[in-house]
Amino acid sequence: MTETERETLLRDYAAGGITWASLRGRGIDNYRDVLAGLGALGLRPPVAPMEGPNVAVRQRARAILREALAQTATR
Amino acid sequence: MTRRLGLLVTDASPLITLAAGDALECLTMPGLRVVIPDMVYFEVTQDLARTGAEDIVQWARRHRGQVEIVVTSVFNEFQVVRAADARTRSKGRGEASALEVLNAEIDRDPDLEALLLYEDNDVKTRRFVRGLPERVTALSTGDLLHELEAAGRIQSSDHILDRAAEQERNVARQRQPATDEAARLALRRQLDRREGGG
Repeated sequence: MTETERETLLRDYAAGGITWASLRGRGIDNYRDVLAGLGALGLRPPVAPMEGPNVAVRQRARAILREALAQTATR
Repeated sequence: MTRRLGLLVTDASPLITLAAGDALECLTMPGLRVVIPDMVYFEVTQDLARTGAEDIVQWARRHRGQVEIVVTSVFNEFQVVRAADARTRSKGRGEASALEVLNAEIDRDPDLEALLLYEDNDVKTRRFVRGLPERVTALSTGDLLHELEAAGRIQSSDHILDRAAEQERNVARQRQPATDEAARLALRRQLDRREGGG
């Protein structure tokens, strides 16, 4: 893979276009190398917007997390 | 009463990101049990020289009782295959080991409640939740950090993610061989001195 191809893949990843699994499928085996590549490009790891096929499931998970956090705050 | 498995880490990337961002405590802050399949644990700690690997070991030790490394046949099989061919990659086995843990727990208790922790782009695009029991949910590293930020438990999720990328960039720079012009000139000068000296 050329540096340009690698940079394109990392930019696509940071923009949410491809997954870590697809980066791995293209030869970037260690997630630390992904982070390093993002850092070199001045990018940060992607954060998924609340959209797509799993929104309901994520919202339920976040509600459970909120509840757990509230419980630890009152302990 | 519903039994709660806790937070099941399905992939190495959330652990690596949080370790590089000096934010592993984020995983234990909600007070839930954190379950890490042995395959995923191996992926993040196999090379203790890499960033965060030792931190993850220490963090798991510090939270013994809350953080649990769970054995799987996926990892056993991987070890067998790797013994025959050291170049064998763990590709895809982390998630397979997490699903093995989840399925075993669901077999014991179909009403089990669990939160699967995924990488952000995975959670956004993949339709992996089809077929999961109703009480099994999924979230991403970003979701976790946003909830902690909203609860006032961390100052900024962006800061943690920026720090993770920056730290790995710095480490990668240090690992790179010195191939720049200054290094070449220094080497040339040294060789010239040796040739000139005799």
